[in-house]
Amino acid sequence: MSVPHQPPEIQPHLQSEPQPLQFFNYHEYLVNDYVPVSQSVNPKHQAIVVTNFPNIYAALGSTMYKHTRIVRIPRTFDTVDNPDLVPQFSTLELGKEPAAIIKHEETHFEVAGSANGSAFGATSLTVLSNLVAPAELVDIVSTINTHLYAAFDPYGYANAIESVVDILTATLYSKVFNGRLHTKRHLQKLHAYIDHVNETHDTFHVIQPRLNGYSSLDIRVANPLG
Amino acid sequence: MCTKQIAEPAPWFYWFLTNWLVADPKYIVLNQSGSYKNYQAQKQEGLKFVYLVGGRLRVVKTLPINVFVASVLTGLAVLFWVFEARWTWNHLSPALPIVFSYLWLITLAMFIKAATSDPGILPRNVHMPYDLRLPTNTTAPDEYFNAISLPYLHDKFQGVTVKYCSTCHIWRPPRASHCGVCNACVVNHDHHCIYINNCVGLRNYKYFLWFVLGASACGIMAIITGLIHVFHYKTAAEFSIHTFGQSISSYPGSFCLVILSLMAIVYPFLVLLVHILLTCQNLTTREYLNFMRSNKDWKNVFDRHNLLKNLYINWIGRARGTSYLRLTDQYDPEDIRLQRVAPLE
Repeated sequence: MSVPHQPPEIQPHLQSEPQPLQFFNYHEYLVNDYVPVSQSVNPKHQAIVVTNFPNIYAALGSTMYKHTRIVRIPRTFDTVDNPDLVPQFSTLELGKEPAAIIKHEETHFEVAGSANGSAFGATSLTVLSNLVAPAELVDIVSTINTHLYAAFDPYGYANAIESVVDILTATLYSKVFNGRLHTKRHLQKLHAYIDHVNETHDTFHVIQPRLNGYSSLDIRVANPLG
Repeated sequence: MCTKQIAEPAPWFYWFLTNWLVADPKYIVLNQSGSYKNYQAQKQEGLKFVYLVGGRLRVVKTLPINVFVASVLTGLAVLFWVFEARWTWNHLSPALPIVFSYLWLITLAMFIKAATSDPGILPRNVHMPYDLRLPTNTTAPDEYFNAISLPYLHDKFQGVTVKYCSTCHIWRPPRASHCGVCNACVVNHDHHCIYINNCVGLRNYKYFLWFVLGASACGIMAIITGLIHVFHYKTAAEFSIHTFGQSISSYPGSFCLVILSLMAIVYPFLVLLVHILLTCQNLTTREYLNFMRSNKDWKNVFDRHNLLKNLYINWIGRARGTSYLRLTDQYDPEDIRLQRVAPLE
């Protein structure tokens, strides 16, 4: 059972004038039906926030599936022009977004209960906050965003010239130079960067965003339930 | 996919035809090696794609109107080359048939690219909220049924809308939409075009636009040269032609070309006008039909408020990008993106 997660701005009776929209991680949701971690936590009064998800990139039922989970960094649409063409991921501190569920003093993920094969906290903070410093994570996501912007930005000269040449040569240009096209070269650089990040960190593993169509940045972590 | 129940793998020419040349994921035969590519193994319900040439091209399994469109395009060009090319080369300028042929070539290439390439289909099942091993959990959390509004760079009040697709199990980016005909979510979905037999989305909108423009331009060129040819007797002395009737009986091919081109150009030209209007505002057809027409308060947040920028983004700037589900990769039976998962309730 779950309770709808209502960000403050869609409760009309509290408003006197339109409030600006607030960003939050739309992948998360609340669950009331869980096994609490201790007797003092009462499921009836406090819902837990599902902030990690089954690892769909591993074979169903395998060891990897049982012992790892995915933390999702959502896409953001208020940082660049044309966010429908250029995927950008949220560089806000994960779990502390403007409309996230927070406890102000909390800096680390604390388990409040378990459900559906994993453990969750009572706030939007994810288990990733225990595994990597927020500043470092923001740095990684910003670099990924920079690569994506370089690849997909429609206003770049390389992109424009390639487009025009492609049309004038009746698409022969893109057939001949397929692997060396501007977007593909930058996406290969992004691929290499993510591989480098995965080699230099062992507490988490960034899944290549192309696998899910750049709809979210998935990070594989160890299952907090063990 | 249903592999045919035969005792041993089929001979190579059989699977070359059914697994590589024209591959319908429902009718794949058993391979010699036993391994498959992603395009041969799509198991979702209601999938309507047929893949050609090893998964590199695709068509949608509906009435093949795109074949008719290609025939009209080629047929009129053949008429031009047979009846007009030589005459215009000698009497007007050699540049004319060359320019027409070049324009036609570009139009055909744009048509093939628009009709057979990936419009930007999102991979399925990547945002599963529940564990697939638990059969009772087929309901999504209530939050996943709300349309979420998120702040946009230039509009923090209406913002952009993000929705969860319960068929594809994915949080769609704004402007992505689920196409009922193709049964897939397409990024920046414009519309499903029955004339190219494919969806028009992020990755092939540019080619669709240039195809429509090229088809109109070729048509107009054919009409103009045909008319010049037919009315040439008025501007230059010709031995036996003094009336319009004599002219068209001497040059029936040209007249035929003019009439057929006039008929053929009506629809592409109207589509071109519509899309010029839409691209001037950076609006998709779907947004126009669903929101702008019915709701006076709806604002197109993606409008750059600059005519040249709006046109540039759609006609030139949009990157082709890469496909998200690599169809020519080796199929991994554990790849959830290709499995059949029931839609969430």
